[in-house]
Amino acid sequence: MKSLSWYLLFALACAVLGALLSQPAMAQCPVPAPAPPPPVCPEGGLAFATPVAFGWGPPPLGCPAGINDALVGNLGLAWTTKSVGASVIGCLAGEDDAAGPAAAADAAVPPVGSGFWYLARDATAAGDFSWNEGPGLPAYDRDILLAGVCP
Amino acid sequence: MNAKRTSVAALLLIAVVLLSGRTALATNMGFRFNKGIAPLGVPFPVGQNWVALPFTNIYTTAQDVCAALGLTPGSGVVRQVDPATGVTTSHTCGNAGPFNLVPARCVFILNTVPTAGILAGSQPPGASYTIAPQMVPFPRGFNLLPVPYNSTACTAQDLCDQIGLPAGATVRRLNSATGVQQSHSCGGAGAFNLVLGECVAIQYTGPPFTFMLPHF
Repeated sequence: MKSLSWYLLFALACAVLGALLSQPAMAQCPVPAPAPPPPVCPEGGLAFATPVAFGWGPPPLGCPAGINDALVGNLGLAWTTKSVGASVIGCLAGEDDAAGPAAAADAAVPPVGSGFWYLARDATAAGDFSWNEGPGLPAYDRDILLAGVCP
Repeated sequence: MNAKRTSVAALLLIAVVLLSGRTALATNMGFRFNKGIAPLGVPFPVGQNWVALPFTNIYTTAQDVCAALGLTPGSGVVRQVDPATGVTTSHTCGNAGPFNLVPARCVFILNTVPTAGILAGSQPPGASYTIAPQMVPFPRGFNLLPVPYNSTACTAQDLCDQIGLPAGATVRRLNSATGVQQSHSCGGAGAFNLVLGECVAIQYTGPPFTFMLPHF
């Protein structure tokens, strides 16, 4: 009788241990950094016109306009790392200090379950402005994470 | 209560944005995501796809979603649920009179064959969402939240914390390919991981409230 109890106890312990080990690994969510400062000369809201083409509005009054950067990154990697820094692909073709319309396009087709993220910023011949957003609840300073991208 | 503080802060922030005007035009993040749709199958709920669209997108009507995802005319279905009233709006792809999509609301998709398509749009910095309390009859209070593509939440518990949901509120996800549901009670252990491009179902008791979500 006693050995049967020990056997049952052992079986129960194995079952509990098995259940614990079979749990899927939890994502290690990065701790958000302090919110960034308000951006200087942020571009207007980015919006798509078609599945491949998007545009954005002009920067606030007093900011130079007409030269822009447009950036693309790996959305799945950004989702996993919760950051744009580790997932940046680079400037969209022809969009590094591009003069002309505040618009860009990307016809690349990502695999199913994958995607791309996009950002745009105001730029001048002398330097670039911010990748950050003004309002909302930004968790990271994009200008730090994307320093040196689209120089 | 966290939820109240969050909603008051969100309302204040929205008011500041609206009053300032210029700061509302800030650089936001755009997305193109290739979303796969699992086909209807047995047992229920295999093939019930809870699809998150970007908050600002190029889809005006349900038929636009049919076209974007290549849903089958005559059998593909797009639905949206108003959790405040429990009214479900439905459109069968290819039929006349598709309904206009409501932003910040999940789209519920059924299709007989597997398919996929590019979803394009962006997430405005001041995007806000409203949660309705659980009531009868179902689906009143069945809040299908389209998790933003640039959400900083990793798990269901992260969402509980960011939204300010009280202990005991539930967050659920549905694996459309297997029909397996995962449920998490806010404040409890073992929260499941969120999946890019999916909605989660939130049910809680308490007053309705509005909130914003942190983003990367």
